[in-house]
Amino acid sequence: MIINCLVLSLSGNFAYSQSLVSGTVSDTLQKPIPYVNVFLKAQNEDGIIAFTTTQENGSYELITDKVGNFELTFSSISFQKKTEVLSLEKGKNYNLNVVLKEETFSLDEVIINSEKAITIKKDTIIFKADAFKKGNEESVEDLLKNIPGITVENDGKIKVGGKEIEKVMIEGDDLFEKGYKTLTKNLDASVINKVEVYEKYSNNRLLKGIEDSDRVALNLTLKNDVKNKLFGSLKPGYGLGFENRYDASANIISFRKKDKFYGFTNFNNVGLETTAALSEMMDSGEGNELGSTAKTQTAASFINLINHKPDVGEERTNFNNAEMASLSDIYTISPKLKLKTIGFLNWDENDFFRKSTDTYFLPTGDFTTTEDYRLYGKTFSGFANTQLTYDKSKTEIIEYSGKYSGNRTRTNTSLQFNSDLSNENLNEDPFTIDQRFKYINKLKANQALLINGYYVHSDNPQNYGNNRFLFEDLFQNDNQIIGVFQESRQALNTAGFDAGLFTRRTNNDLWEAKVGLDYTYNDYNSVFKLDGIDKKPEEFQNNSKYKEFNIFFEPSYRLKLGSVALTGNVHFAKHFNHLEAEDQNLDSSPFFINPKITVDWELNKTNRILSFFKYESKNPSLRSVQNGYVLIQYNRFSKGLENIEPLRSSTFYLNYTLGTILSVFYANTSFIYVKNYDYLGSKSVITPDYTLNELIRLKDKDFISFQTDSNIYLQWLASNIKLKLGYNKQNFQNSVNGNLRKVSSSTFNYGGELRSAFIGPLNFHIGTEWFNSEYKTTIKQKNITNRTFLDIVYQPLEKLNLSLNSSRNYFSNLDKDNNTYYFMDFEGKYQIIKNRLSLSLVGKNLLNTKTFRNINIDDTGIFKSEYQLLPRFLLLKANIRL
Amino acid sequence: MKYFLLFFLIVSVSYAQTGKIVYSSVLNFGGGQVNKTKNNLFFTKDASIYQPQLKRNNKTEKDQNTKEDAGNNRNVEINIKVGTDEIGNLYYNNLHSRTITCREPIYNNSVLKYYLYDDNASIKWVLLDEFKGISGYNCQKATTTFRGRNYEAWFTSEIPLSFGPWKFSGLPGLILEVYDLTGEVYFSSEHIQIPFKNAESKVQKPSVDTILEHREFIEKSNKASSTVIQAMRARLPKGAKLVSSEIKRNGIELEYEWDTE
Repeated sequence: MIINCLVLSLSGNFAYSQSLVSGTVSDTLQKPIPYVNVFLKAQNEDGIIAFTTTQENGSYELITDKVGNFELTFSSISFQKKTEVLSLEKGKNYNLNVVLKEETFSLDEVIINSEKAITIKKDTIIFKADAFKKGNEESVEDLLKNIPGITVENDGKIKVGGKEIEKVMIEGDDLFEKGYKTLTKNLDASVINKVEVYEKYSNNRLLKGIEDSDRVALNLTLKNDVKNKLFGSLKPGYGLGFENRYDASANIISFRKKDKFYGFTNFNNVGLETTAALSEMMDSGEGNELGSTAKTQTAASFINLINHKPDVGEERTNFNNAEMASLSDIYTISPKLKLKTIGFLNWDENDFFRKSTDTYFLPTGDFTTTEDYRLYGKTFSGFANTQLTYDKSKTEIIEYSGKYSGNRTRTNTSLQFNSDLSNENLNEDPFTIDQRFKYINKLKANQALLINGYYVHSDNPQNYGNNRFLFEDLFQNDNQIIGVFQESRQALNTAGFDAGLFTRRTNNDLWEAKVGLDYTYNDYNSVFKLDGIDKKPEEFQNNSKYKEFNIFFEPSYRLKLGSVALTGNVHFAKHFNHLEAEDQNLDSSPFFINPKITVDWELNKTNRILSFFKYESKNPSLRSVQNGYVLIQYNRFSKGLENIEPLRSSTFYLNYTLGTILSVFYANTSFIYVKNYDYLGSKSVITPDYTLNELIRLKDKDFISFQTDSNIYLQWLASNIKLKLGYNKQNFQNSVNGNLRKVSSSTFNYGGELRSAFIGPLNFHIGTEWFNSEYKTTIKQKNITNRTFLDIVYQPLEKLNLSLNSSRNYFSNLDKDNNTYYFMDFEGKYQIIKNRLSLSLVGKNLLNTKTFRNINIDDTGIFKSEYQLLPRFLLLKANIRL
Repeated sequence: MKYFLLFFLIVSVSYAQTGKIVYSSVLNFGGGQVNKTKNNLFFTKDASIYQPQLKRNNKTEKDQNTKEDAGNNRNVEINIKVGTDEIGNLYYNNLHSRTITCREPIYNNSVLKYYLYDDNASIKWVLLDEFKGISGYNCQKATTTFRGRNYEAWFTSEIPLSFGPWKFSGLPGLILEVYDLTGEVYFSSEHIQIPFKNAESKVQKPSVDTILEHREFIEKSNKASSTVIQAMRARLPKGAKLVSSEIKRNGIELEYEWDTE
């Protein structure tokens, strides 16, 4: 009995340690009020510790285990707030009925504008960095991973909303352009104050809202106390095995209030082009922006020793030894004036090995030539860029940029052509200065004026020598000729000026009008000498000047009519061309009207048509007017056409999309038809020893192409099947050894791919594609090639990623023993200390394929080539952040 | 005279029980398009409706651009933004029935179709003794775990409403800011107007679309979206780096009460 009692009182105590406060809330007319907030606070404290709302009948119940003096508050939007003081004791129940007086609660247009973690403005989202730090961030990249909407891929690529960003700026300065990974991987997260995401970003702030942009850019603002630190990383990589292979790089970054600085260096002999880093830094991606029509021309090379490389990945055939260093800097001279400089130096040594067997099928007979070619080249290249930006006012910007680039390339070859052994050497020293001036004025909120001026000077001297004379039949030879020399040079000067007015109308249509003029002065010079007799054969010399003056006007208008977007554009241009050659002068002054109309029609959710038609007249290119033969390869001469009459063409393009990438079936089909009313075709003389090639003016060339891709997603297999089908055909004429003939070439390609999207750690992508090409003249040449690949990725742990890429290349026209090539590459990456240290093992050409043969055809013959490849190597790489 | 006064009082009371709150939301799930919208919360004395400010119906858009980087790698970027109709998602919160009637779309094989479902889940808030000021309002912190996310909310008892953005409600004061700890879901108030004349007409239970059970809706939606995501992954071009990743349930809600069954 006593025990029973004890248990009862214990449980009772337990239950009663909570207090129940209940009651009803009613208005002054004794009607119950539902949905009144009832909350309990300790007396004179802010914190609510318990709360409830009243039921339909006005009743409420609140349970708490707290004791002491409390305030119970009753609040509702249409009643006066009422607070009752309540002294709570353990285990007691309280009943509190209250009557609330009616009162209007009103808040008129209250705007909440305090500093929030995320601030949204039109096209800009600002994130306060501290609100997104979890404490384990090392680099900016880690911080960005925490920010909503930003993803950082394994390779450091940053995407906002799935779209790669344009650039990452620091306090509005863009030091890295596309090479921003260096910044985000190395800069310490703790120095960041705010991350700003600019959507619909325009590289030029004044064009914002006028041009169509779907670009995204990031801007990082720094905390005030961090402007004197240095950041950087080291990435050594060294070969495992006997061969001395390496790929090492290092970088350093510093930001000061007025000066932002970045240095980068790389050394490798694994086939990587170090100049890629430069193009990454220089690619400002102005492709789809409003703006200049300035041409980025440089003086061309006459001689190109390597005319094509096989399609197996450039690094497989590039035996190199490269060292590069670059520095870039942005210096703020005054708040309105900024100076950006980039300097880049690169040394590279390259070896390249090729053996070819070319079989010609010509109207005058068939023959075969053989070649065994070894090239050794040394290149030193330098580049400097200065850009001065003056923000004159809120609506005006003036910009000057000057680029200076130069190369010094020395190439020596050893060549066995047919039975002749020879050595060539080629010295090249191209140099280009490109100066630009830009003025932008935002006249109105929806209207901007752009003025561009530019001047480009480019000079490309080449000195070539061969210690063997290969042209016995071409020049009279009394055995005294011991070799050939050619000194050639193209010098190009171009200057221009244009102005554009861009108006975004209120209905969102875009009006553009451009007007401008440019002048190009092109000087060709080549001297071909027979060594030993010191003779300069006629017709193999060039000395011509080509001047083009052009004045143009180009209005365009874009409008949207329901589901159809129409763009109309006409380019009106008056040209004055003058060609000055040794024997004659030519003048032409054509007037061009080049219209283009584009239709983008979205029929409904699953059908979309994009189409354009254009008619174009243009001048022959600068290189096609040279009047004498110039040596372009050891046994090949080329000559232009002394004719500067315009060339005319029409193009029709149609693209049809069925479904979207989101639907189970998705297909994309394109058709293009190009008709050249006039074109420059080739007239060649091909002999076993040499080739002479000259341009001739011909009429009517057709090109049609049809490509389609169909995708079916199979849910039961979690994989997509893709089928590719394509056909293109070209009809034209050329002349070979005196026979003018019709040539018809076609390519038919088909293939399929299967790609998995498994949820597990293993995924694959397999595919194959066949190319059948055919050239038809009086005879038919056929070539069939196939490429099949299998890529596998295995990620058993978050820190470990393994990938294996393999491919098979097959050429039907090569002999059975040599017609199939396999490649396999491997990469394994393991993270030891997150964001501080990772190790990777890279294996290239694991099957150790030492040579690669391929075959190409054209209307004159079959060309078989054999390339030497970088042998198998394994590289152990580390990535260390300093 | 007395009658007149009474009449006036009633009118003003019925006004006082309405209002409009503008919330901005920033939603992002695993790197998709950042979805930032402004939303209106209209309320009357016993119900509220939360709806996006839409200018027009937004198409489901795919945006693909191909770029070549320095290593001659082709980068194909595909960006999908699931659209809305001219009404958009609706969340009708009825205090009386304690349910939220939701109007949400399912995107299935290129067709966007809206459904209605009743959500009976109640959010259990835990109050913390932490405070911050938001534009002069003293806000108290409350936390909750709701369908796979941990949230922090800042509410103020100075505005005696128990409403909030999306499905959030039930605090003894208006929610001015609420976000989940991964940063993927973020709501904050921008603008408050009490009373708001037209609120009564806005706060109507949505009723036109097909009605599904809550669970039925979620299952249908999951099935449709996982098909789309997998199809897209399986359609990546050759050379696009194959990196396996888990397909997570995307959205504000990551798991459901019935998942553990």
